[in-house]
Amino acid sequence: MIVCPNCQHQNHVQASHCAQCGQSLSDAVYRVCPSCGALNPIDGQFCQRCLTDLTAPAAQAQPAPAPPDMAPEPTPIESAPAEPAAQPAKPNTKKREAKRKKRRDRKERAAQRDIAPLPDPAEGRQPQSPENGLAELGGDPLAGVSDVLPLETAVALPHRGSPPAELRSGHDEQEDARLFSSLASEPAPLTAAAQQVLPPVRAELPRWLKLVLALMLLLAACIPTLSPGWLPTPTTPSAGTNAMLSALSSLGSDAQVLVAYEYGPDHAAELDPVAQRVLEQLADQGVRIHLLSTEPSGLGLAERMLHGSDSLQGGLDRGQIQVLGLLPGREIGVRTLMRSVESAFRMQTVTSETHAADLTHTPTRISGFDHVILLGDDSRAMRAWIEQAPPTLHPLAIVTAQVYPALVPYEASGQLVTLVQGPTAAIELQASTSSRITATGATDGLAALFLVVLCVAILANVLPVKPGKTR
Amino acid sequence: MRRIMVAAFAVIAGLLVCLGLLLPSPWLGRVADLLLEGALILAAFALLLGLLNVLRSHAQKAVKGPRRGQSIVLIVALLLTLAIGLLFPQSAAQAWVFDYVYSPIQASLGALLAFVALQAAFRAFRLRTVDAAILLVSSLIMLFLQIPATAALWPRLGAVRDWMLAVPVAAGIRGLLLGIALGTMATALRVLFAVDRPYTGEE
Repeated sequence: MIVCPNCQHQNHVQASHCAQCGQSLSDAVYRVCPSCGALNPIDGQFCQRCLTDLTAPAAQAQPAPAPPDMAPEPTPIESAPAEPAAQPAKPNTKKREAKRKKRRDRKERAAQRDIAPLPDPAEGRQPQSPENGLAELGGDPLAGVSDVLPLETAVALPHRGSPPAELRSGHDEQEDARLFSSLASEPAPLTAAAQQVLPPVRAELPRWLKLVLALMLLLAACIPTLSPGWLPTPTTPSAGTNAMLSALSSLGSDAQVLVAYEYGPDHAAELDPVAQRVLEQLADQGVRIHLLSTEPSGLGLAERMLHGSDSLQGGLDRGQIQVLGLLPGREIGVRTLMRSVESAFRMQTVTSETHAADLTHTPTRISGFDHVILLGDDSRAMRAWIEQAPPTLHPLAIVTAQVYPALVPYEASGQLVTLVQGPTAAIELQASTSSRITATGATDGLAALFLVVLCVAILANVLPVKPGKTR
Repeated sequence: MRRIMVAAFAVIAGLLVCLGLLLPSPWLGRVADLLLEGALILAAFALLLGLLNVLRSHAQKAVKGPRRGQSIVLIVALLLTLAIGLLFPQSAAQAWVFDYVYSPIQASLGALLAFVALQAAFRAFRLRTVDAAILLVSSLIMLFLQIPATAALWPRLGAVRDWMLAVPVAAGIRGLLLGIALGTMATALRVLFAVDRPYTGEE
């Protein structure tokens, strides 16, 4: 049967036009095997699956069982018409037929030249014609037996035939097989759930753009040291810094202050100047200072600051400054400290090679301290201190610019005496003292950083750079 | 049976600490203090356990692993620092390790964040959505107001910065804090009612 390319109707093998839609079947692509239903090329003579003769009428290819006396003439497969003469008559012109034949011959020659012939599946098998089979058996073994199925009918079944030479796979067929193989071996499309499991696609900037951004940032970082002081600095500290200074200056020589170092070396540049200034002022006033930290790095920074300043080193030597030590457990540690300082630091004496701090001069209760100063770069640690503090204790916080907005509500609610932003406070304190040049450099550096961000915002919307996607 | 005992102990301890903080009872307060001190000691031992865990994990990687060199360096540095801290506490050698090894490395890592943040800003500042536009405008305004020179040149800008921090920023932060508090309460209740049992190591 021939499949109509227009309506897919299966027409008779000798039909020239579709019986359903009238479409000419000269351009048909597939021919349906009447035996197994496989689709074959229109110019194929035998079915590629079961070797049925596609040019023969359906009744001949699949003969119905008939009584012995009405059995049809045996039709050996070898004698099947292989010449185009056996093709069904089509309304093609002779020119088209010749062209098609020439193309087929060219394909076969190319296939025989480029591709090794496939092994013959019927190799080594004797032809299954009735005469040959009976000859091998030495005559008809069923002679004299009546009412048996005619042997010719069984032998004439299509799949018993030997494949003709034309069934060797050509170039196009091998291309089709390769395409089918690639489609069959292609991984199945991912479902939505599986796609969500995949890591997100990350936008990657071009390398030259990364270099430009890094150079801009380095230039801004160099501004504080190169700047002659282009921008003015505030001559008077802000309200928060003033409140902090006034609170500290009101302390007498017998006052006790607890200082918590809750920042690490990555933010030391932001907080060290203010922390040093505050500690020096307290040491000059004769205030007893007690240092602790919930992080080991905080203690290291405190020790470094104490040994790096002459006035702080003197206070350390006089026993005015004591390092209480590490307070593990963060919230639990702070809670324990709020209940009892002795419980938090079980040791009565903290000894070291450089100094010996005696806890007998340390208040046993948190209420014994006149002020608690928090130096922090971690909002969670700062919240632990503020939320675990009793209502009578109002800490004073000096934090980084990153943490500052997170603690503004605590200042507004009165849980913090004052909240100071480290970099701004450092510039204001420097500007109010003799180190004015340092303050102007820092101001210019912040302004340069703002310009860098402004340039990035403009470039991001002007440059036709689209981040590449990498997984 | 073991699970029930562990869960019962955790629930009772949590309830005692909670009641000790809420009720003005000296007896409950002392019990809560005792339990909190125990937790503090456990936290100190947790540091030691974490150290041993890191040591064991990298020892296995140093013996057989794709990045043996890094694990070996980590183990050597860890043991060396530990030995200096134990043998020479608060000495110049320990200060040297902190000042010239630990502190510069952590400061360098922090400084590298600036480059990453700038690249992230390049992506985030592309005006493709309304959110990106709001982010861009608010970031530029806040950065501009953070410059001390702006308050020196125009004192009113300082007041504008204070207002922005006190009203819109504080409102957003308050919302976050309320969410954190509610989440903490929900988690605490789940632990108190033994719905979640993180102390048993079960999922």
